[in-house]
Parts: sequence; C-alpha cells; structure tokens
Amino acid sequence: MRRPLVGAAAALALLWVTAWALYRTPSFVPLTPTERAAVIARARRGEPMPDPTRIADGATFLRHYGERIKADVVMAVARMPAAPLPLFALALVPGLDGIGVDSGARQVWLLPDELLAADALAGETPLRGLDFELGAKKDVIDHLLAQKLGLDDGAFARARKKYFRFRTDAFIESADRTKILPVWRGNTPGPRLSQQALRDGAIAGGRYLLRHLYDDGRFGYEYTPHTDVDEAYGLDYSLPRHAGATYFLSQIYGTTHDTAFRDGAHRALEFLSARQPGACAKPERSCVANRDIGSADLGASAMALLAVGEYVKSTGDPSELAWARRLAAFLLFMQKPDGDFCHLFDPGSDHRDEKTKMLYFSGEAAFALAKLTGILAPGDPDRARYVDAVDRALDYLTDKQYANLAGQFYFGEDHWTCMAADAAWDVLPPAHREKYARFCDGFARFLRRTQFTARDIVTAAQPDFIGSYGFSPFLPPHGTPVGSRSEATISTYDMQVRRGLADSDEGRATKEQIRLGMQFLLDHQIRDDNAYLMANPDAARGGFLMSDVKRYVRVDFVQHSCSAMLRAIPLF
Amino acid sequence: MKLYGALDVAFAALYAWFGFVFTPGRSTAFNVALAVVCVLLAGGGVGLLLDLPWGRLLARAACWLLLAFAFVVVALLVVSSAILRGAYGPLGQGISVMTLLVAALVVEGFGLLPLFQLRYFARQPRA
Repeated sequence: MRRPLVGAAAALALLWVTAWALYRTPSFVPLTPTERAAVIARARRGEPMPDPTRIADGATFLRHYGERIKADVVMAVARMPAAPLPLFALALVPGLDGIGVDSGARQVWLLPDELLAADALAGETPLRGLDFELGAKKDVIDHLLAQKLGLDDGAFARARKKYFRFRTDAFIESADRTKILPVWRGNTPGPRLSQQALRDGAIAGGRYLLRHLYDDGRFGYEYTPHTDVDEAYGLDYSLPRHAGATYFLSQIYGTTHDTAFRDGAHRALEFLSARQPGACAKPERSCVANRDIGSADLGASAMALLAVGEYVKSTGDPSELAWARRLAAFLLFMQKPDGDFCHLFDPGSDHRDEKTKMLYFSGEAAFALAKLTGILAPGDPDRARYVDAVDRALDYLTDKQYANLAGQFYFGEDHWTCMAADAAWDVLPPAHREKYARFCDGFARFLRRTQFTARDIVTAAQPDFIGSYGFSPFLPPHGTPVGSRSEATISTYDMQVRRGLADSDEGRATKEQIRLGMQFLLDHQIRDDNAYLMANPDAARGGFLMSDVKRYVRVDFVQHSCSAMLRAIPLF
Repeated sequence: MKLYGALDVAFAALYAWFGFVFTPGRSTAFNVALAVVCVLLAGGGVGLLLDLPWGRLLARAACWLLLAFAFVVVALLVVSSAILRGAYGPLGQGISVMTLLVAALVVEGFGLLPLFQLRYFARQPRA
C-alpha cells in the first residue's frame, strides 16, 4: 500500500513541475527609463512603428491618447489553458496580461488596455455562492478575438486555435507630457504621501461629487468613465450612500470653507428632506425613504442624520438642527432594549420590522448619534438621551453581538462602530469607552492581518496590492475597503492617542496601517495622468474606481476614500 | 464484508444526493461519470450485503473507479495550482492551504473508503 501512495505523490509532484514549466510567465526585466524614453522619442519623431503581426518578445505597440503616447512592449509570452472555465478565468493576470489566439495561419490579440476598456476582467464567478466577481470573462474575450479574426462567435468556437497570454512593459507620457510614467493595470503612480497630497486628494473627491450632483440634488450615483455616462436615477439608488456623499461635502466644506461644497451639501440635503413618506414625516420624528420602495431602512435615516449634523457643524447654521433631532428621534424609536436597532420601518403602517437584519445599519446609527452629541451643548435637554443610546448601541455592537462561541473568532463590518466609539469618546463613561477602544484595537489588528504589505509574498509580483485589504492574489485590490477601513483605523488610532498608546507597538502598527492605506488611495485616485483610458477625464477626476479592473465610480467609493484622506491629514 | 456493503450503499446515496440534488452540475460528462460511480458502488454494496457471487467483483471495480476519480481530481488541482503559480508568481499561504484542504477533502471523501476496502479484499481469501 505504501509504495503506490509514494508513487502517486511522486507523479503528482512531477505533474506540478511540468504544468508550472509549461504555463509560467517567463522571467523578464522591464525596460529601463532610458529604453522607455527612446521608444517614446522615436514615436515623437514620427518614425513609423506599425503594429507587429505576431506577438513576440520586444514587439512594440504604440497608442495615442489625445496628444499622449503610450507604449506596450511585449516582455514575455506564455501558454494559456482554454478550459475549464474557472481556470481560464483566473489564469489571465487581470490588467497585466494581454491575451491572444493563434490559429496557425494568424495571430490576433487583445492588449491589456483593450481588456480593461471592454470590462472583460472581472466578470466571472468561478465559485458559485461567492458574491463578488473575479476572473476574465471568456465570452467577452472570445467575441472580441472572433471579431479580429473576422469570424462569428460560433465559427470562432469551432475554429482550431491555441490561446496564449503575454505580459507587456507599459508606459505613457504624463498628462503634461514632461515625464514618462510606468503603467500598471491601467494606473500610473500617484503622488507621494504628504499632508498636501491628502488635502488635494480630498478636495478633488469633493469636486468630483459636485460635478456629479444634479440640480434636483441627486448624485450621478454610478459613473462609467469609459463611456462618460452617469447611471440614471432608479430604484437601486442608495439613499444611505447619497447621504454619505452629502456628509463628505459638508466635511470638506468644514476644511476648505469653499461655498461650492456648502451649497452642494445643502442641495443634496434637500433631496433627502423631500423623501419622508407617510409616517416618516411625523412632527416628532423623521425618516428618509424612497417612496416607491414601501419601506424605510435605518441606514438612510442614520446617514441623513450624519449628513445634517455635519452640515450644522461645518456651517454653524442651526436651521437644520430641528430636522436632526427628528431624525435622531427616529433612531431612538428604532432602538431595541438590548441596544441594537430595528433595520426596517413601514411608513405606511407606522410599524418597525423587529426581525430583518442588514449590514452596516446599526453601526451607522450609532455613529450618527455619536456625532450629533458632539454638536449639542452640554446642557442640551436631548443630549443625555442620545449619549445613553450611543452607549447602549456600542455595548451591543462590541460585546453582546459577539457573545457566543463563534463570535470569539471573527469580526463583522465594524468600521462604523469604531468611528462611533471615537466620535462619542468625550461623552461616554470612561470605563465603557475603554472597553470599546480595546474592541477597536482588536478590530484594527484583525484588519491588519488582511492588509497586504511589502512583506507579503504576493506583493513581490503585484506591488500595487500594498496597502489594500484582501485575501487573494486573484482579486485586484478594491479602493473602497481601504477607504472605509482606514476611516475606522484612524478612529482607532485617535483612541490610542487619547489613551497614551500612540508610541506603543500597537499604536505604531496602527499608524503604519493607515499610512499604507493612504498611499494606496493616493495611487488609485483618478488623476489626469491615469485617466488616459477615460472618455472625459475632467468628469472623472477625483473619483475612485471600484478597482483597476472594474472600472466604474460610485459615490460611496469617493466618500469613504476621501473622508479617510481628509481625516488622515493631521497624522502625516 | 457486510459493513463494506452497507458503507458502499450509503456512500453511493451520498454521492448521488450531493451531485444530483445538492449541487447539480451542468456537465453531461461529469453527470454520466457520477451516475456510473453511484450505480457501480450501490450495486457492489448490495452484492456484498446479500453475499451475491458478483458483489465483490462489482465492489472492487467501484473502488478502483473511485480511486481513479480521486486521483484525477487531485491531479487537476495540482495542475491548476501549478498554472496559477506560473501565471501569478508566488501565491501566498492562503491559496496553498486552500489547495491542500480541497485535496484533503477529496481524498477523505473519495479515497479512504476504496483504499480500506481494497486492502480488506486483498487480505480476504478468494471465494
């Protein structure tokens, strides 16, 4: 029995080595800056450099984006498995690899930029049940390759062909054409971390939101830079995210005192105030909901309170405070005896749904109430009720909800929780806030374990992962988790500073975590330099893509990232 | 003998429920292969339970088929991990652990029963 098992193990080892040798990306050295400059110089001189007819090492492709010249020089060519579909989907390194087919007589291919523009790189769900998309879309790629071969999809499927992938060294002239920038997954290096860079980035995010804010106060909720189209307003327009973007406009007004941000925030608030259907418009309490949906979720009202509170704080205009109290009254109405909140409310029957639980809402409610306590005078008659509500909510969020065996081994989406603990620090009982702060230390540690750093083996091959949060080299990093987790980590660090822990190992590690996240955000914000694939860089500037390979902007991507950048300024 | 017969029938039912009811696949080839495995295993199990003359032969065939299936799945996993390692470079601990876990599950789910059963048959005198 032992001999066949050893034989099987040896056969499997041999199989691994053979497959690796056949499919690996050959090692290569990227072009030096001088070599890149020479390629661009030839192009600038107008020397004819037609596209090669076959993909081979050194094959050079030039593309013009306006006045700018971009070059892709093929560095390595490798085999590509055509099946099974999950392996095909994952075997193309997204944004870095081009793909082609060799039909014997002819080769056709798609450069990495063509795959990015076609949204062909994050579309498969290789493992059913996972709620995120990753991996190349074979149907889209096959269709594009078939077009290049002059075949219809059926003929392409039947044709004898071999897939291959290739890696290029990509570089482009900077937007002002004074530098040559390396391109990595359609992105170029961002500014180095500094207070000024963070401030500029946050302001650019605010300006992005203003550009996508319509006269009626709604945002262009999702924007596709490749087509320069804002998604039309519809039922899936998220009011919590609208309110989050409004909150950020007030935040940035508080920093810049640029009245455009104040006016934008006010217009976006009016959009929310016009959405108080049925029992949401009671004199004593207010909630925000889409009239066409039929139920009001806690998150929309919590985030509306956050936005109103920040507006009052940054403008000093108390006229909206009455609405803030009515929104707060709704949150208190939705709070359960254990400190948690009901998440849905029926404005038609004036009843709350005691059972349905949704992500984020309890933390958002705690944070909104915590921020409200910060703008009320100590003698305010409502303040004590709000403080008590925040305290009970934090007790639930940091303790009761994890009071089971499984709860000792994971954290949920607690970034709002830690922001609430920080925001309410001055009004919470010292013994309670210490407990909440320790929970947030643990949450930040937990997040840190999922943050890619230069020490991770994955980042040797994909350095743009550094600073992002994730669990797989197959999933190019998303910016929004970096933004939201940085918001929570900044709050955690604030609490560490208040407890005298800034210079402890924990404090230094938390600050480093924030630093890596901020550099990642600076690198991934849309700027003129990295907007070369976008139809209208002016409209996209300041935004954040979902990821380099899932190229659309949503208002909450900008809000989380830029709010974090704004709050991180004093730390660097 | 009867213990292995009962286990064969139980595992055949488990595979059928898993492959046809719980996570039905769209691949005809996979479904046919699964059906053959289930029929052979159930048939062999019934044969062993009733001590029929062809029971042991059928059960032995089912065991070899299961072992071959487990080996092919592990081999495909190995090839996949090699291809992805070749494309991405170092993949990190997580992927290695996941691959090992899946391989271990495959061995546990499809390899252990036939291994023990074949060993049992090898030690039994031929009927």
